[in-house]
Amino acid sequence: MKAIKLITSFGLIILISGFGCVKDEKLKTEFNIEGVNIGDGWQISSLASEGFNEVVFRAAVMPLFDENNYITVTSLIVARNGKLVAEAYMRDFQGRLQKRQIQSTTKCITSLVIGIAFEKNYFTGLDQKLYNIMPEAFDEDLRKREITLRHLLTMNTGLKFNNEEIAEELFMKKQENVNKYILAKPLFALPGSGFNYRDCDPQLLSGAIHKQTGLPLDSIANRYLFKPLGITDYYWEKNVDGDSWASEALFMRPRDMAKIGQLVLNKGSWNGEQLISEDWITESTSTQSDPNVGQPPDKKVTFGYYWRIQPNGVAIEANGAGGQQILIIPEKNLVIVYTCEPYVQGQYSLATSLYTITNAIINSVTN
Amino acid sequence: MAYNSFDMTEYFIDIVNYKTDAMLFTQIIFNMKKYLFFIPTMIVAIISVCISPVAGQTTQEANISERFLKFSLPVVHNQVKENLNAPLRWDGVGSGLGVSHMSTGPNVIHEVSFIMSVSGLKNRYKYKGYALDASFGYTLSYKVSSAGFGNTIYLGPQIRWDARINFFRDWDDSHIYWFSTYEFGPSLKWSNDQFEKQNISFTIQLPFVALVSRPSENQYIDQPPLIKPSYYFKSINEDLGLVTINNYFSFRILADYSYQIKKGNMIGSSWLFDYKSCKLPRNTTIITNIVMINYYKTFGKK
Repeated sequence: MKAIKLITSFGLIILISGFGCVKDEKLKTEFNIEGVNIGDGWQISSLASEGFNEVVFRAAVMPLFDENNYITVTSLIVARNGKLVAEAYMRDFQGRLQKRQIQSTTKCITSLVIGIAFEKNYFTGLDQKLYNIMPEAFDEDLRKREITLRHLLTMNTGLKFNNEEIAEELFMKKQENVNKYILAKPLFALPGSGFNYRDCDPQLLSGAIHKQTGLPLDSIANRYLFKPLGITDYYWEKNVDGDSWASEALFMRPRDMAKIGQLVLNKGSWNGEQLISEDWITESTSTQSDPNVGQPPDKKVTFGYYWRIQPNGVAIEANGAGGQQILIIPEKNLVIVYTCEPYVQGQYSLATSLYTITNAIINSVTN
Repeated sequence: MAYNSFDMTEYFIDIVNYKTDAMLFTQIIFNMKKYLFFIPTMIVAIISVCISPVAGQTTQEANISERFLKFSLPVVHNQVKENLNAPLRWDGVGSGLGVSHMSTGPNVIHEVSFIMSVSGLKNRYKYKGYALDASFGYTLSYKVSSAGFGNTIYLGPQIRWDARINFFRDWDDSHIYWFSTYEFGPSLKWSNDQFEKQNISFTIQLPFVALVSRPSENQYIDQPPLIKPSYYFKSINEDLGLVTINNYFSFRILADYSYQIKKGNMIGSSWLFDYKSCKLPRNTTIITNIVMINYYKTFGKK
């Protein structure tokens, strides 16, 4: 009898073994889009003052706060007429002070820093050959010696290298002598013969600027771009050689990303100070590479110096994996920034969501 | 003004290093062959299992009456909340394998146990992930009281290594979120063997001292080498640090029932409840419920 009691007791223990439950929490914050002045250089304004239909705008961004609607967006910044009119952080612990992995949006910041480097005469010109800067990194293939800085800025080097390789071989294996490693890859086309989106071309620029100035890319960015913009809290990862990863691996606050967008919208000027020449901004955000030859102009997406240009120049974009975006819409004097979960894969529905929300935000501008 | 749509495939053009799960696991296994980093851990485990009965013989030679080798088939239910990733609960079930060795005498029990499991995880948005658990521990229990009717109370120290690797595949396929601990503390055990051929026991373990390894707040390394087994072994011991009760709390309850089916052979079942919570660098809670079916091979003087 006692044995049965013991067994029964033990059985009960097994049955209640499901006790102890980790509480599931809300993922998203309450709806809040009010901009806050934190003394980082942004002037705050209201939606109505800057010509938005507030009701339409609020309806546009409401899905981002819907707990039942999983969208990977973690923050949204909207600036118009040079003023921050809305900011939203949809994850409670990922607020305005947290840096985000901006992925390939980094490339466009590299592009701006290279523009500064030209102004400072660190390079002789766009057609300067990379071989003249780092001859020790080249192999015996003479055709590679024709690679110029322009080819690097337009992803036109012809080097056979895909992004998966750079991720695995460079990041994972902590490759030393990255420039030499990249340049040892064979050519699939002659330099200048075709656009090919990948990460190795910006990386060679990072190596080149380090070689020319003795300073890594991030130091030049900090001195001539970030400090004047009031960007103090950022992290830019470097490779084993001490070169900043120029294609990704920059972490910034969303508000600081919006400053970059505003700087480009203002043709290089921030609070009255010309940080980058207007000519460079114009040139780098105009079509330099056309990967969609043959498509009608109203559907053709092209590339500047890493900037992505929507058909007819409707928008200039800095895009990163997962949905990180700086959108500049010159006609509306508008900057929109999204940060998203940086590592979530397979979120193809995100593009649809962002497209819908972005269009709705643009349409909420009334004048 | 129309904001022109863009090609969605193109939109994700710079997503790097995406691999299907099958590819990832295949590469991990392939690399294991190459590096064989798991061998030292296995050797330590095997040596420990061997040392346990030897220790029993040397220190308690006259008292050791039985030795047990226990094989367990666990069914695991995991609940995880990893705020480094998102404040969501991930739930899942899995299975694995457990092996333990016990040497018992009238006044002392030495027990070395190892359990390993793999579980699937899912959050409320139906995104998937995985959890890999390994636990290795040694418990020394001294008899402190006999309350009659076969009831015995044991008390002694326990030392334990637990490693948990969470991989929230659909949420973050670039990082692992580990939670590994080295714990030392008391173990209190109640055992009842008043019925011939049956034994039931209940154990509570509460660590006093713990070393914990967790990922850093900002995982700046964009592409860690997830396909290299050495990365996992390295990570789970990264920046090990002493923690206080303010930052870390854990306990473990084990209920065990065994029945002798014939001489030298026993079967039984166990329930293990493991709770771990750490505030570093952000709140993390893991609750593991394991129900095990056990087979015991007994050896000894009895």
